[in-house]
Amino acid sequence: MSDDYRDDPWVDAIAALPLIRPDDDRAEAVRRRCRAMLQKRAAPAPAPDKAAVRVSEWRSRERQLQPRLRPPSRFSIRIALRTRQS
Amino acid sequence: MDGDSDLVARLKAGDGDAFDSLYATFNPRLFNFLARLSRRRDVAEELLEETWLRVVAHAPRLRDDTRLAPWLFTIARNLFASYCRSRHLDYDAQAGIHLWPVPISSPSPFEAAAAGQLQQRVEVALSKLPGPDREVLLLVGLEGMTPSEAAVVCGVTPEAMRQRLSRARVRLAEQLEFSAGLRVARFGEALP
Repeated sequence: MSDDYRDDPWVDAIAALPLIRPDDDRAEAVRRRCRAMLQKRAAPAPAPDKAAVRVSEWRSRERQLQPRLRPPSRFSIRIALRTRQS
Repeated sequence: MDGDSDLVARLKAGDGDAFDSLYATFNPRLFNFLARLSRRRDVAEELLEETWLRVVAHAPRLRDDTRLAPWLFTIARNLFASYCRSRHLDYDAQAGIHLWPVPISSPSPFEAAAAGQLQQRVEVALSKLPGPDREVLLLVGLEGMTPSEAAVVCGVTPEAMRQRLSRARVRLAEQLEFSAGLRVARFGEALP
């Protein structure tokens, strides 16, 4: 056997093997799906809506400014009742 | 490669026509490779679809000097190796499993497609080789890759690939001699 694989007769025989073709309908569906995905991935992200950003900032500031509302403890209820009684 | 770098740049930019061009060139070749590697049409179709989904997922992050053919065949080959692992199929001993049996008496669709007698014998011999031998011969013989390019696809060093190719050539030659021997015994072609 020759050292160089290119001298082998099998190289030509394998190269001449007939092409096994994929299913056309499925290939077309995959092509369309992947093409759309590629274009979507490469598209720049849409600029954020300025009005929506302003509303979101305002809401977060409001949340920070609002005092925390805690449920009354049993002790504070008792104090309140005593105050009312007196 | 200038052609590749241009196509890579267009793919990174999300050019649909560039993708169509890549798909038209490589889809039949990748399917051919996967079908002959797996010996099953349905598996090859599934792996091919997954290959393209991976291509699209990674396209925006491609390096500018990426060579597309080795990259695509690497993805396809790795997916096939993962498929074998997930099904607990021994990639090395796949020839023994006969997912697509190819007895001499009834030709498979692969054999039927092979017009010439030598092609038919090569088709049968290929189907009986272990997975790693088959992939090397397909990449070098069918795809025309150099051993160095095939080494990139298979994730081995060029030296290891040269050894694998040499081993695969010997095994293919043995298979071809074996099938020739069977033919002689079966049809008495060379008997006096």
